Amino acid sequence: MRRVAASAAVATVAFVVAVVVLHDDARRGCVSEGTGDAAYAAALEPPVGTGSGPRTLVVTEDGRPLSGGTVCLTATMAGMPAMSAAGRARPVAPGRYRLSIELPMPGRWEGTVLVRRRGGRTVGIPVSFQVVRAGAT
Amino acid sequence: MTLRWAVFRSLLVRDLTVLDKRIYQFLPGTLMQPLLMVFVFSYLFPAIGQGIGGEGGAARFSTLLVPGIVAQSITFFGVFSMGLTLVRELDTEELEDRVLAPAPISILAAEKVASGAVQSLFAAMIVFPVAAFVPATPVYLAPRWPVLATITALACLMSGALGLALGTLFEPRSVSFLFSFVALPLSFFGATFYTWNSLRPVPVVRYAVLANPLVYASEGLRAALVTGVPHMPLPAVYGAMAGATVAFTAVGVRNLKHRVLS
Repeated sequence: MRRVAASAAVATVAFVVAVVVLHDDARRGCVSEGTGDAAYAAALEPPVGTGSGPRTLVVTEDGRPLSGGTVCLTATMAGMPAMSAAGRARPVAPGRYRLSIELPMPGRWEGTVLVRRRGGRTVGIPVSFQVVRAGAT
Repeated sequence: MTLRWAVFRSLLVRDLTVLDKRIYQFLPGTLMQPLLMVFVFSYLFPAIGQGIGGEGGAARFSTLLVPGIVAQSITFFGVFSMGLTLVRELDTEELEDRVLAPAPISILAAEKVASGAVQSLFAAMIVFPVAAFVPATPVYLAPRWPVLATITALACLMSGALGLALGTLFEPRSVSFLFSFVALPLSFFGATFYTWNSLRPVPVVRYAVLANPLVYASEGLRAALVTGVPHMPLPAVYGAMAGATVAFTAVGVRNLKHRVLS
């Protein structure tokens, strides 16, 4: 049963590698869906240039700067869903979060800011932003 | 007890030896279905601008699809690979030598379930590398290991039991019904492409699909692999899968006795 054993070993290694890759993506980005909540709003501070430069995300709840919770952004380029970016933001001031995500192409990008509150509730805030070529701003 | 265990083990080793001899048929057959589904839904559709879920939702759809494909691979393995093999073995009386083993027929049935479960586990594992490297959209999985391990084990056993029940129920001339009346409804109403919760606007379908064992496997694996997505309560998933495994095994044992002793 050497071939079965070898195939099982290869499948196990491939499974472990795949789970690590997929889990790492999940840690970097934002997993799954959030429920909509009109009290929340989010926007990337313009100008948003191409490349991986740090970006500032402004998130508010009931018009006031958000405090606490985990914030991340997942976005895809409009018309090119294969072009995607995801990243977790870190708080730098009340309602202001810094994140580094690679945005390789200029154009319209659409996505979701996920805010996971301490109680386990996840809010999904749709965002849309224009990416311009770095240096053109 | 020792003799029964020895018979069980020998039968399992026999099945794995047969698998070893036909590994080059087994591997492509196991890989093809998840590969095609992930390629079409998570690579091809987004690449041509028709990603399911729209621009921002394509990644979410891919993420929700992966647990469904794992569940479907496990279940289909039981239905097709194990069930169809059993149909052929019963028809050609290939099982006769194993029926003559010094153990009850239920041991042979249990071995068939275990053999199907082991092979289904292989089919499940193969989906993950496909999901990691094929899709054009991101797939975000966050495994809850205890839930993943228990749900996968239970789904594999359920698949083996389903294969036993169907393999002893169908005859070669009625195998086409297996495709049209079992496989297709299992696939399309198995919560593979959507969550069970999302069927809320269509309550008739939402409750009708509860008869489909694949729904519980899909929902259980979704609970194990994706966070923040509504899913069936886990006790209900575990209970339904355990109940289905017992029911399919009971049907399979009864049919197997009837088929080999008549």
